[in-house]
Amino acid sequence: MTERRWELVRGLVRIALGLVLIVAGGLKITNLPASAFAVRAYQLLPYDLAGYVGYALPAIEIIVGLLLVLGAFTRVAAALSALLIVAFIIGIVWAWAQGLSIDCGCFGGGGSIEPGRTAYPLELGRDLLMLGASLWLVRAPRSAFALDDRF
Amino acid sequence: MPRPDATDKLAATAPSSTNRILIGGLIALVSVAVVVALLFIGIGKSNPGSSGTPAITAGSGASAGTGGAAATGGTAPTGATSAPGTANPASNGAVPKGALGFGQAMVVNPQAQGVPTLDVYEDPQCPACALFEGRYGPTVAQLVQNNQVKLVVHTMTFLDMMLRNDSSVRAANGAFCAADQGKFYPYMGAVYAAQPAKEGTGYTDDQLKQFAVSVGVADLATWQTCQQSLTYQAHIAALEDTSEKSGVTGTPTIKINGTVLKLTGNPAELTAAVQAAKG
Repeated sequence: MTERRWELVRGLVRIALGLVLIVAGGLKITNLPASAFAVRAYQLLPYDLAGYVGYALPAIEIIVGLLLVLGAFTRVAAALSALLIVAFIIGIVWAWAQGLSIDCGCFGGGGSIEPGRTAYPLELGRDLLMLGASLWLVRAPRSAFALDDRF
Repeated sequence: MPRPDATDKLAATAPSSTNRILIGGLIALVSVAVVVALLFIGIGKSNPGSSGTPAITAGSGASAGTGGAAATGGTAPTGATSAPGTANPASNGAVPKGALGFGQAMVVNPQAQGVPTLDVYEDPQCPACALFEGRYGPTVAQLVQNNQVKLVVHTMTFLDMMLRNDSSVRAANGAFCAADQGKFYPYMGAVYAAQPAKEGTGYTDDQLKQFAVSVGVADLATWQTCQQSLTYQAHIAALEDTSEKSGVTGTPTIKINGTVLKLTGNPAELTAAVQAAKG
């Protein structure tokens, strides 16, 4: 493929990644106490800190998502996205390893669920895919439909 | 062959730095504006205080004719969204009879001594809790009756936040008002037995009052006043906090002598676990 085609592919990947982050943040930002509750359910962070993370996370996801969709500061935004997703992966692996039965709360919801209803492999697979996309954009941020091209 | 790279193109389009700062600032501004806007929408939706509490006053005032209590019915709810603190409710307040203290669980049969402790964490609106009560309730009642376990009930209310209503807090308050007259456990039984089929429908004020009548709360007027003023609201918030801090984030959670018990639906499991704990 020519470089131009790759840019097109990366542009689409970038926009898709951004949209997923915006949706994930948007679904949570309308119920911040629930978001805090979902973070606490991981039992990974101290109680109060988990509350703050739960309140801040949706806004951060939306901002990073917007930057990605617009293609503004793509490399920085992709790096932030990669960091976020690494944190999510650590959380899910932790919950799985600890034998917790929780919903990841990735798109709202969260908290304990019946042991048979956990979906850790699916949640991890989705996160790994998003991590791959983020790292690709960190390595090669130049992509189609990007504001970065305009200035 | 060198890896294709955009250096040449980038150099050709040499961006002016003023432009970049300008556009960057604009994007940052828009992002912040969007987030702030969403935040406000979120707070408007998730604050039960804006609509929930007045509904209680109106509802029960009309049904019981004790409209005079309306003034106390307006007790400001602890704004669930006031701060990320959520987590920091009042540190003292009214404690219902039978509770171990402010923000502490309810002991159903304190007379039981030297027997295993059965901790039950339940939210009045949790369907799985109603299921648990349906399947294991009679066994638990039997164990309590014979003082074979000390039953400690940790009433949780986080489903109000998830379902965007205030039914868990109101039902919990109703149970604690009943506790003052020795009817906590039967009241909770009535609540679970009448749980609406669709999660999120919640309980009406009339239903909550009906539970008090059906379990034989003797002084109904006192119960009514206690219920209308949400006397135990601060206690309920602190109790939720206590449970969450102890690592319980789902209901029902059943513990025997502090160890979480995995149940599969057979009441005999419970009896066996109690026997084993006694051992």
